[in-house]
Amino acid sequence: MAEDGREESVAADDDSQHTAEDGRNGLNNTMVEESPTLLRRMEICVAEAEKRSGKNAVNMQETFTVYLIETRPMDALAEGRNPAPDSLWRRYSEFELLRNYLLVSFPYIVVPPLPEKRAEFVWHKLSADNMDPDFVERRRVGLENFLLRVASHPVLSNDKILHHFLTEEHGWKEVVYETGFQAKADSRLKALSATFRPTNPLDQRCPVLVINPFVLDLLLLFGLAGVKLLHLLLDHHGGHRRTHHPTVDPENLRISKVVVSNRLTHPLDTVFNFSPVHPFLAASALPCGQLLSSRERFASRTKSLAVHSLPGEDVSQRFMDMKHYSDELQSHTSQLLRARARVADRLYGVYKVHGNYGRVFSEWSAIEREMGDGLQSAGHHMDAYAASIDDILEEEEHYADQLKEYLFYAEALRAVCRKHELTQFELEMATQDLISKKQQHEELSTGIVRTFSFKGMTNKLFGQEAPEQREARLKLLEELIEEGEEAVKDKTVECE
Amino acid sequence: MFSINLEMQEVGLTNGTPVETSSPASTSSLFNRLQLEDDLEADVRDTYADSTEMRDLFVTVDDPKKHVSTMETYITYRVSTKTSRVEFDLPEYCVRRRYQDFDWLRIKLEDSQPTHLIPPLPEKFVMKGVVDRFSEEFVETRMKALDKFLKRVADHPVLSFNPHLNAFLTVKDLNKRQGLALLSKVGESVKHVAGGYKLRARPAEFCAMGEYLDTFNQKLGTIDRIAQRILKEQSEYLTELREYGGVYSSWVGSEEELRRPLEGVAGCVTTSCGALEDLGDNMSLDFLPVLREYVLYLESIKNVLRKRDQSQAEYEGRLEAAILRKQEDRTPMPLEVEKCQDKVECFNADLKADWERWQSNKRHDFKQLLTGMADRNINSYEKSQAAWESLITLLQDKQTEDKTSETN
Repeated sequence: MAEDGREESVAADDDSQHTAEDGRNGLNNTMVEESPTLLRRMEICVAEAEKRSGKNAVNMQETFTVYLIETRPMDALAEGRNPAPDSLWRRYSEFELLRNYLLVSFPYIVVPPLPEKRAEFVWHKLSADNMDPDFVERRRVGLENFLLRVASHPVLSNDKILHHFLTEEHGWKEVVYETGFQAKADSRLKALSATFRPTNPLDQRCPVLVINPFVLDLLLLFGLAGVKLLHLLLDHHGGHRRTHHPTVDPENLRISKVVVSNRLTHPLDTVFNFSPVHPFLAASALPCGQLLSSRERFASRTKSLAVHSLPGEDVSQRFMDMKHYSDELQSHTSQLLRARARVADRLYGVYKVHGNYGRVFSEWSAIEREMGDGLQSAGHHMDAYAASIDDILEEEEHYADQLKEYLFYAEALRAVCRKHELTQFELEMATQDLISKKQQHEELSTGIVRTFSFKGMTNKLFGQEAPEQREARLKLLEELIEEGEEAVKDKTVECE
Repeated sequence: MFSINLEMQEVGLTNGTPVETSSPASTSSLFNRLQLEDDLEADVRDTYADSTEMRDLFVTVDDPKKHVSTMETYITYRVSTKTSRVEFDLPEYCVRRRYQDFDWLRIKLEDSQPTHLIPPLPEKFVMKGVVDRFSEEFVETRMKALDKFLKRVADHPVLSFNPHLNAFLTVKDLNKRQGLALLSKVGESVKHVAGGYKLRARPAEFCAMGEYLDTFNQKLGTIDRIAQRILKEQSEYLTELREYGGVYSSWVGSEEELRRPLEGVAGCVTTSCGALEDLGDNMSLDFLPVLREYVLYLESIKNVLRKRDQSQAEYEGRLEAAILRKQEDRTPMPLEVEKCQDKVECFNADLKADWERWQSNKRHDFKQLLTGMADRNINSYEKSQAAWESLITLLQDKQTEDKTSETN
């Protein structure tokens, strides 16, 4: 199973090139780096798959597949040494756990998708059998892509849990649970399921007071996701020129963001660098695969982002656009997948019926003298024709897999948008809460009743409170206000 | 010797560039390479079919026209004849005939030449509700079958000299003759029933003939069913494929920069659909009718075989009777018995000769049929392939386009 081309051999470049250098990166794999992504330091691949049996949670015997993850330090390779890789076995559910962790911990990042849990969009012949060797192979490829993408993400790749996943076979699960991410996930889930609407989606209060690294990251990631969504394979060479020059912006931070843009492209560039890197990608030399070009996409997106990424600009509108786009993408890819499944089903039928010709020609040849040989061989050809459909459709599965990746990416994108909506909503709630608390505080401390309130009424009717009581209440309110302000701060940060 | 048609069609690519479609893999070129290895014997026998050098009677059926009268509506066909035979007064003739006339001819031939295999006519009756008798497709198919019928008769060394054929090809108005046809038909069938002799043993070669006919009939029926099933499955496939192409077109709406590639894919799918649809139409028009024609042929051959059996039975019956009588009162062999013997021997000889001729024609016809089917399939796939290949070019162009715009 060891295929040479699969290993990512990324030439390490001098990390000291800190400045906003770029554009010199031609079509080779040299890179400009600020903080190296994991992929730069480590070579990762999912080499094999094996069947295992064991007892599951309810103490029943079950069979499952495990995948071998191999890692090798990059510097060793660069030096020409060829050390044996470190390896460990992981099953699909562990990958899932890792991804869920990442989703909760980095809600503003579009997390790369996993290959599907169950075979969806099947046509009748392909049983939804998770043990089917073709399915296992495609899943292995999908898992490897997932790891490579995560490891090349500037933010995700530095996560400790990810490191653990790749290096410590046992005890990893416990460490993940200890992070308590699930509690966060639960609360989020509850909020998400509650129907809510940000009161003013175009509210400028979504503060982008400080150019926060994450804002641009998110937007660029979106752009990137758009790009990668659309050219999962191809001819997308390592050097990405900047599509715009930094506007005259005094803030140094801004310039470094532009650098970020370039840096972001490179790691993924190598991932998606066409042949001979990845058999999966190489196999997609199908015409359909060459369908979508990256350049244009990325160009347009970054242009639109460059225009709008000024502080205080309407971020919400962009999110609306993103959400809309992800909806469209989702609908189209799933339509396409369903239509393809139906087409495959029908085509299979056509080919298989031709197989009947094989039998009848063979029988006919028995009663013929001169024509006998010709008819026999005609029959054989018909049989061969009928049998050929299996390989044809299996190859097409790779194309379907790529469409599924788009589909999942669209879903992940959508999830990010929803989370943004949610945090915005929470921010508004917190802000309002804070305002009302401040109001109460003011009322109490000044004794002036601004607005009609029950307290005001009771005061008029029963006389004002004793000063001590008032003090106590004031104190309490102050504390609450402080808490409120903290909450607002947190939410603001999260929004960004 | 064999004329195999290679259809060279204009294949359009998505950007309109025509493409050469004759592929080295086509069946005719394969034949040309294998010609030398052909069985010589088979070749010799097959010259029965196409001895164009010796032919002196050429007939064609074409030019269908609709006739509307107060009583009925029907189609006539032009029957053209070119000949150098002395039996014909003129070297060329041109008459119009309708199906009824062909039917009359066939009946006359059957009656006057009962020991020979008469080619079949296309189906006489069509259910009015199911098939449109005047649709272009139906008329075209029928005309082709009538043409084949007439050509086969004209090529037959015995049948082509039949006076009824002569009348059919030359007389302006056949209607008068047709009245006699019904009467004589009735007469013949009465004669046959009156025979009533039972055959004890069919000679081996005719047994083999009978078995072959039965098995072949079966196989043809199976092939017909399979072909129809394929057509059905194919049309359902085409429906789904069209929908699939449509999704790409509608996707353009949300991906403006990808307009050209997506529309390119949609275009390719459409081209493939068109190619496959043409293939299906061709199968309906050219493949299935031949199968059906041979099924009818087999039926008529079986009838002739039965007639042969009957004449043999009659002879043997009479012979037996005569022998018994001879033993009793020493009378010489009656003349009828000898006549019967002659009749049987003639019958056997004619049938054998026709059988060989029929076999070689059949080989030729099916060779043409199957290679035609293969050629058409190749053609259809080549069209699809050309479209997809041009799409690859389009996509690659787009990529280089994008790259250059990036560097600007």
